[in-house]
Amino acid sequence: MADPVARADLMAYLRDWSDRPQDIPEAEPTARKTEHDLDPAILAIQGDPAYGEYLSSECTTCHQRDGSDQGIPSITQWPAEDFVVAMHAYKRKLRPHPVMQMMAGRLNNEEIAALAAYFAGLRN
Amino acid sequence: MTFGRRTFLGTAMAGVLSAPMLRAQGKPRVVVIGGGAGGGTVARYLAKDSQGALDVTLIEPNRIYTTCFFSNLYLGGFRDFASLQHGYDKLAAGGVTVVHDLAAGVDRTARTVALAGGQVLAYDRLVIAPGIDFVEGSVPGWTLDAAEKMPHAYKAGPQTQLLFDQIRAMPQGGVFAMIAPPNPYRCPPGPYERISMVAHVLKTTNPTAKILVADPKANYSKQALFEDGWQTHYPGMVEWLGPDMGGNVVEVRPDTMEVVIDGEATRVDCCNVIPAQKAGVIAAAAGLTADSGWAPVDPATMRSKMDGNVWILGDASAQGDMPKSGFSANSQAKVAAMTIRGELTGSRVFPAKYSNTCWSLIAPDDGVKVGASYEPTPEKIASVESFVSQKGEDAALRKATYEESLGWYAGITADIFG
Repeated sequence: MADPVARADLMAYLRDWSDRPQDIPEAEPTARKTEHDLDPAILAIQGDPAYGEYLSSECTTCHQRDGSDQGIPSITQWPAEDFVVAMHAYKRKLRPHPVMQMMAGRLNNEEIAALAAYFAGLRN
Repeated sequence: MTFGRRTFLGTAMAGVLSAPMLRAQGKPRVVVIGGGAGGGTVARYLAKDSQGALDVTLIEPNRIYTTCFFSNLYLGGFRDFASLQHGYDKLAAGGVTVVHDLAAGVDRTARTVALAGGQVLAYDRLVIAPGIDFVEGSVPGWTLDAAEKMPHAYKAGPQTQLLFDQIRAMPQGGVFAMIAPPNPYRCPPGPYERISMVAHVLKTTNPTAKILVADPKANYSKQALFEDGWQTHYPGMVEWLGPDMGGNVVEVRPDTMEVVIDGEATRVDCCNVIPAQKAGVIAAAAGLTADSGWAPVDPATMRSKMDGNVWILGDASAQGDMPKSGFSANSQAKVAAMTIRGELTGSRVFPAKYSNTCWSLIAPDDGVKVGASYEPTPEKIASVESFVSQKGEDAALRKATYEESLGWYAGITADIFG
């Protein structure tokens, strides 16, 4: 699809209507501003990557550090804001997955920010 | 020959005697016994996160490790055996000294581990993750010697392959029997996933065969999901006898391939005996187990309650609410690695968080799961929140759950073995 506007529109449409939107990476050049109603104060928290590194060990039982996504989505190198928005969507049970609702449910705002900071910077 | 051995022992003893001085000068030493989900993970994380500040040695007799988790899928024909096997090359490349030997004894006063091959290793901190062993005499008539006729297949390896072959060698219309274990045991849904996998094989190759389960427990993990699945996929094939039907009064006769339930003998064609379990024997030999047969630990750190220099991980530990599973052992290992590293190198220590999820396959593309998150209380590791798959979920969700389990296997084995 050559026209960039049409391509971006199609990606946005697919993202909005997919059964499993978590499998669609939010990456340049097609990523759009994520729509959400999360408190800006939560988004403004600066995460502690060292704490994030410890917390991440709980994620990497399932989500692979090298970004492989067979059966379970990749969570590395997401923009930190998208990561925070997604985790709070699980925490508030707006996203449906029971394991992720449970995992996110017991993380506080600082811990989610710490994870976002760590995974955003993780390189293979 | 004699001279050579004496020389070797002399050298070894000199090493042990001078150990405290060396310890003061060199890197802190962590020895890990057992290279499974708990031991492999703790060794890998200690080496990775300390960036060379710790001397980490892993003792594991097998050069190739076969995971018990997912071995039921091999029995059902969904995976090949090689897919369960993992080597230690990446752990070694990551800075772990891997010693393929058996830990024969622990001297907790001298802080040394003696290996079956004669070597003695000094430690500052010791991690014991030996998995399970079986309680002798727990199934009358069955001993480890009988496992060639009536396999346990509950430590993955040749036993698993033997059971695989025996299921497929059953005569048409034959009987597969399982003696299920009492609580607590490794992988709570494991016996029932195994029943599902055996039923799947028999349904296609031996549809008139029957499955008989003698169970000392009145209830078991994911029971409603398994019973519903068996009725849907394998109607009339599985007969489950709980304690109210004599499932707790069992004897086996390996020589005549008989199972005696509540006094009534039945001739069977394949018999999977999963005995009562206890911590791997090295934990008891080191004096770290309670009367229960399991090794009690501090819930916040996984440190042994018997010895401040020793950590116990996984199936062998008595910690509270977490099930004995590879996922739990992996989760506990990360708390252990963090606390050990903090103690030895002064790195930051964060509050412990634990979690577990167990996936089970009932039939092709019919996967279910159960899981929980856990936090330490003064008394135990306590369940905080849990979930379980529901009856009546649509086929797409069950398929997604199965596919998710494949992703989990790839993820956790990469997390353990690198």
